[in-house]
Amino acid sequence: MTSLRRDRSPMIVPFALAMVLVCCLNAGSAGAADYHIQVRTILAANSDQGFDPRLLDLKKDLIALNYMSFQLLDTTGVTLSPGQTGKVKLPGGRVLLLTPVGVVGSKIDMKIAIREGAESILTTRMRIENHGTVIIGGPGHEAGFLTLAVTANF
Amino acid sequence: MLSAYFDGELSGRQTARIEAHLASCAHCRAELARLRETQALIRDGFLVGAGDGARELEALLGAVRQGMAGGVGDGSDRPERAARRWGLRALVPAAVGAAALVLVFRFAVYRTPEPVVKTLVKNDCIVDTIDGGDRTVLLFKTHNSKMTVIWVSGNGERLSPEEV
Repeated sequence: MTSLRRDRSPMIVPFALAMVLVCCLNAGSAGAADYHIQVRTILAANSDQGFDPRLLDLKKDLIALNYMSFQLLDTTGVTLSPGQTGKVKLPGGRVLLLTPVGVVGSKIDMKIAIREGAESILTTRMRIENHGTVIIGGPGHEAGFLTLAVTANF
Repeated sequence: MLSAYFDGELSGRQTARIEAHLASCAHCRAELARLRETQALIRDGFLVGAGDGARELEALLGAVRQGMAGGVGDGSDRPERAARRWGLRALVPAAVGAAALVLVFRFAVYRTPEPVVKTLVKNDCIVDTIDGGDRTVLLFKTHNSKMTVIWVSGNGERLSPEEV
């Protein structure tokens, strides 16, 4: 019986190697499920600067905010794993915190917070359609208001 | 009908009618005779085949026994050793082949399912919770692309859009 067990070991080895390889590959693909979040920081104001041409894809939505000018201040992209929090610095010492929780259907479940020092300006949790954009705005900056266009991809 | 009569599937009345017809119809009698001959051939053929098969099986077993008896060793455990050797020779390549198949399946056939992406409503967004502290928070969607807007106002900042 013992000799039979010993004789079977050569055929187990290729199987074990194949299984380990497949498990490693699956683990690798699972780890690749990252979320790519783009944040465009925009200054909405009633100045004569007009509409920044780099924001043309958002023009129809931004003009609904009823300001005269929209200028792109910064564009930041972060890649985050589920549960990981990314920080995006905003003008005025503020910080935007992004935490993707997971995917629900075709939407990304995400927590978003804006803080100014220790003060919390906004905390929200939402589900955004993949490649969809949500606009968050309101905090004052210079002669206008900060407006953030957050686009989530997975 | 004749075939059904031959197989005994008819009722008594139908059988009587067929038999009455057979008494007067040579053609149908000949047809019935052909059916009987065919059945006999099939039955005999099966028996002959079974007999040949049994003989062939016995010959094959004899050859196997002879081959195993002619192996190396003292003879007491020859069948077990031979079976073990045969098993290893066959199973190791089979295991390697199976592993190769698994790898081929993983790389060539199986793909990690792509997430379902609905593109009909690109900016569809569901806000589950929202907290602006002591600030006023406006939540609305734009007319054009139904983009969700969260507007925080307070501390003297003016309320914004007419979209509200």
